[in-house]
Amino acid sequence: MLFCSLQYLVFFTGVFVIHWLLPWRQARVWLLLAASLFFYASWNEWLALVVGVSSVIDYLLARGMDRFSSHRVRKLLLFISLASNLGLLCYFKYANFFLQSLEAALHRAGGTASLPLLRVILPIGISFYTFEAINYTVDVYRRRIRAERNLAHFVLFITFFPHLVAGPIVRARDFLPQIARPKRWSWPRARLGAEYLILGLVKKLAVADRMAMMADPVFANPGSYGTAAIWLAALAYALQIYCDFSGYTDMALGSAHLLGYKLAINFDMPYSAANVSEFWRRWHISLSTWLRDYLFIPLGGSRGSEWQTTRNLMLTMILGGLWHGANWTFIVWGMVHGSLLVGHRAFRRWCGPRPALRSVLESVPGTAVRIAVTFLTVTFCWVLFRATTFEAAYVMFGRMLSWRAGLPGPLAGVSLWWTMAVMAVCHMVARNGGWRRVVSRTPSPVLGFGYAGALMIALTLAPEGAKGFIYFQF
Amino acid sequence: MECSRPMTKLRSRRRDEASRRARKVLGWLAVGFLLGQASLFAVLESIRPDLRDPEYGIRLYQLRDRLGERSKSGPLVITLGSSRTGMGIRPDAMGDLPDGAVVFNYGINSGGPLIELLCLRRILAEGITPDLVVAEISPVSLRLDGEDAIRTDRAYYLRRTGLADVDAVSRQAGRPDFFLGEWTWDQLTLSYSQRSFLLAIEARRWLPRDSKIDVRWRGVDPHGFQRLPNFEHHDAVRYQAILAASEKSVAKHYSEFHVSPTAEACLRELLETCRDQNIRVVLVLMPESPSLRSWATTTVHDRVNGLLDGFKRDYHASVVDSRDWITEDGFGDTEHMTVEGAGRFSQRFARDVLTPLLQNPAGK
Repeated sequence: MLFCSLQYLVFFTGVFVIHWLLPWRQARVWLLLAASLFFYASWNEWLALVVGVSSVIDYLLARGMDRFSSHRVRKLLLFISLASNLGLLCYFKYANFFLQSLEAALHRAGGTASLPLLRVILPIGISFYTFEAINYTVDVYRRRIRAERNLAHFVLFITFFPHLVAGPIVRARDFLPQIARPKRWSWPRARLGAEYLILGLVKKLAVADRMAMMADPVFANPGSYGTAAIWLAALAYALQIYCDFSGYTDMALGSAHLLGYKLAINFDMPYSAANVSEFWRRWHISLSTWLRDYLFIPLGGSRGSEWQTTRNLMLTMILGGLWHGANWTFIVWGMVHGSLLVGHRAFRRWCGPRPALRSVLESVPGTAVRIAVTFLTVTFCWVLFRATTFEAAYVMFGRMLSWRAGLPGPLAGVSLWWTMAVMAVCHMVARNGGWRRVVSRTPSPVLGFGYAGALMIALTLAPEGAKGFIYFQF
Repeated sequence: MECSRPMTKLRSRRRDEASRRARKVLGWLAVGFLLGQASLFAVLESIRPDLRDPEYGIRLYQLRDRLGERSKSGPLVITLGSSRTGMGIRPDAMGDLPDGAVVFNYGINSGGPLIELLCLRRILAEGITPDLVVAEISPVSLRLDGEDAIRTDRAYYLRRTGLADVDAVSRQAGRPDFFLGEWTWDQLTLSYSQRSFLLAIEARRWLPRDSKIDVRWRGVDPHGFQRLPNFEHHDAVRYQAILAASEKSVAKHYSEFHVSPTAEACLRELLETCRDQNIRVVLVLMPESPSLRSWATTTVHDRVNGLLDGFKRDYHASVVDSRDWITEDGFGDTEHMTVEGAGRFSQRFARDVLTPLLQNPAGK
């Protein structure tokens, strides 16, 4: 059930109406819980059971951690929780990847063994809810939060349908108190929810799915296309992945607001970042902060020597890359980003004693150049992310860097240039909270008609046939 | 305490203001969206029929142009039908007809009796009254038309059905209320349901280069004849490749052949409309390749002939059976003629059917 489908509209309208008609707080919780399990079961009912069972296990382990004061027992319970969550993730997502990699390594070493592959279906959103469960048990272990006593509340925290399949990765300390709090209907909140939903629809239907028409055929067969088409496809994919994922997040945020819940912001104009570090502070914020809090800092963060910081950064980014999918291209993509972060740290240190250079870089033209360079670098890395094999990525890079004749792009460039121009303007306005100022000063009829116009544009530009969200596969 | 009371009041006033503004914004959003859809609906219904049904609308503009060019007394002949007609009748190849008659081809892809009826009703509603209507009779669409066709290609009918057509189409749909409900929903979200046509006609460059959506109307010439690149000439290799697949699908229709009651009802309504408007009608069994003809069983022949006999008897309609007029080399596939085949057929049709009918307006 995609957020931008008629089924979701019917499903959400039903849940929304019943939710606000119910006068009892606990009944609303049960309604949302049932709706969330139904939502997940609409993909696969058996895998809904997996989420349910693993949530109950985490609930019990956390209660145990709260109950026992012995450090050893608590550590053991945390270990069981981490092992069960990561074990589940590894089994469903990485087992075949490890087996295939091992087989390939054996073959290279001269072996002829053929390892059996597991016949498993990847539970949708497993990477997201596993990380949510981990942050909960780790926080209980660290005594940052108390274990949730109400099982229904805890399972709702994990399975709440707006964030269940593709995030944002919700922190227990942010979400659990919201479940316990009584909900009152609020018009400003409903408006905010509607704004997020429309924004998400525009991003998904008018940009992401349209850009996919330009990028998908080229990535599927890069050898046939000319340099211009390859570049257009790479740029189109940069827009597609941003608008697909942030569009999903906006719709998740909108749905949650309409039900009286607030989810964390996941994107903050990432393509306006002036360097790679800033990009990661603006891109998939809930994952970046999760990796920072539960991996980078526990590894030692940037407190140790330069070598240790480099190691921690690289490890965090490689695991971040692997989180996205079981493929070596994701690992190398993570390594490249890790190297860029390390390089940026070194460059910043080098600029420290050079105030003249710093002032040039921080001037308006200098910032514009840095934003452009960062965007192109990130776009280049997306090629690695999107390509299914290194060979395909190699062909793409080769054709990007040297002029080759070939097929023209599958879509005329005009839609890409218009989309890029609109996105650039939106990024410029929205950077530093400018959007909020514009909205607050606009008269209500103009704003309402503007939103209606945006919705109509999104519906008109929606391609034929529903296209799933990219991050559902992660 | 004294200080906190004004603060609470201020906060409460701000909350009320925000609440009022939020209600207004949401209200205007709903009004704006509905107004937008209503405006689009008005445009589709009045000034841009091509955005509702491109194959019909584009032909309407061309028909208006042809009527502007003809001499005032010249009769108008409209040919109604499916792609067999669309790709089979070439008015430009007919030469000079009596009294400077204008022939216009209204053969619509995937058309059948229902689409023929809709086209005629729409043309009449535009104030254009033909002197002669040539209506195609095709065994396959006699079996499939109406309920079956609407069920298998629901989007085709939902998108192309305008306000004036909705009663006729929903009557033919199996569950009229259900069709009406779907159609109403589509009108409330017109910018979504009609988006393919909106983009294909108004912003073609926003569609993929290889999109085939406008192939149905891009090759239509100024007389309504549909010219497709693959059908310029007979290609023996391609033709042989098509034969096997064609036989399988046609055999399925012919083995359980019956005339759909909705198809018959549409044809009867068409004939009654023509009778009421004093328009002469010729029912034409369009040319079929020898292979296609050989697949037809006696049941098919008997049922089609029975239906046509009834029409002759009840409406005094003329019937022309031109199924064997063109040899295999005049076909691009088993049922669609090549441009050259269509030219040959059109010349003979003009000479043997239209000229005598137009020279003898007695039936009028």
